[in-house]
Amino acid sequence: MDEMMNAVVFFWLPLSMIALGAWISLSSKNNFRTIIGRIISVLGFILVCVSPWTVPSSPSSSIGHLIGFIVGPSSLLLIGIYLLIFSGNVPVGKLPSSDRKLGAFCMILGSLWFCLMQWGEFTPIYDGREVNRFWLIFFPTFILMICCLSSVLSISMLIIGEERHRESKILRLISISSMILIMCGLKIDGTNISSETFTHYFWLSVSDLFGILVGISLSIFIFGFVIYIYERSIGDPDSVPPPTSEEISQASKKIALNIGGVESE
Amino acid sequence: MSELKRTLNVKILIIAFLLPIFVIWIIDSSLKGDFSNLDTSDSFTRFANAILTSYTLGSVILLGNLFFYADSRKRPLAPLVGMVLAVFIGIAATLFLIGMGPMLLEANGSVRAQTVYNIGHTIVSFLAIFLAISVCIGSMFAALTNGKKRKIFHEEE
Repeated sequence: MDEMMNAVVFFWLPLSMIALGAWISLSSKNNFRTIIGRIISVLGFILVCVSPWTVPSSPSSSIGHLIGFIVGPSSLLLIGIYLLIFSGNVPVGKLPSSDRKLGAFCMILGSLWFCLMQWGEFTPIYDGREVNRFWLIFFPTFILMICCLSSVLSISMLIIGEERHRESKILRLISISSMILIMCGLKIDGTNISSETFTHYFWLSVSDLFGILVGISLSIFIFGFVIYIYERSIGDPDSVPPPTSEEISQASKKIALNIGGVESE
Repeated sequence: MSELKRTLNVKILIIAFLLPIFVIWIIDSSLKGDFSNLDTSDSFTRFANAILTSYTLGSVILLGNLFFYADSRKRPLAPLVGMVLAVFIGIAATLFLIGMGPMLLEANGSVRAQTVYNIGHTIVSFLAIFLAISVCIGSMFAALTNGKKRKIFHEEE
């Protein structure tokens, strides 16, 4: 097999298996198909993660390498958030309040892990030679999105919510912290990544973010337009004839049978 | 909520999204003493590639979504054909614009290499965006549920 075929079989096919599995799992109402969909997704995910070993010559496999590196800190962040949410005042599925500390610990550890990947020795080095170029895309985009989105959520708490100053302050704090991290990246050299490299990729990620927002908005607009054109072409549905007196009396009987009980005081 | 207030709120939210970027730009430029850090040529290339790729990938995802829509509409073919056409326009525009010359090539030698790189790049960016969205929305809910327990309805006196 040539290099391109190897990349298709060992990387792009497993990657499409993740999407296909998720689609099967979400679209089916039957339990068996849902499980099959999940199995396909997990299998695809594992094959993507091992792609640096199965297709080391393909540049695409550095995505698998990156995913392998970020699984740990990302899981810690997500588990931490889950524990923090459900150890609070929730009506269902409440966890013990001691889990709040564990959640906060997971969040701090996950964030620290990401910082060590940027400035410390944990940087994803691909093939033992250079920094994985997809890490240089992932980290600035991730931190920039956290900074902008938490700023939006902080303001929306004040606009939409009532007496949500405390929550707004927490989100503002997250936004400012991520902004400080970005400034550190722009000024401080890491063990493997210089501040110049980070600066270059950071401004590229700003362009990338705007490009993605425009592209996605355009595709949603086209989707809405296609549906609108179709819905307009099918015309109004046939109107149903009014009920006959026989149907009305039958409905009255049914309603009378179901109305009753004790009136509330 | 009146229409005017709603429009104003949307504008405030857009400003809140853009403000951190401007603040970082101003601080960075002040500390370094110039505005040369922003390479407009590279940024434009990335912006254009991101639009083309995310439009095409977004259309493919929405094409899959049409199957859910079709379930409730006796499986019509017209929207499916429309969306397939939209995807093909995206693919054709990407290939045509990348093939036009060095304008959209980012250190990649061929159209195929650039297209594959664009897809990989967009997947990684999507990953970063989805993780950031999960962290931010999760933090918001964590802040909401860990606050004081509030009464939803006023008790009758």
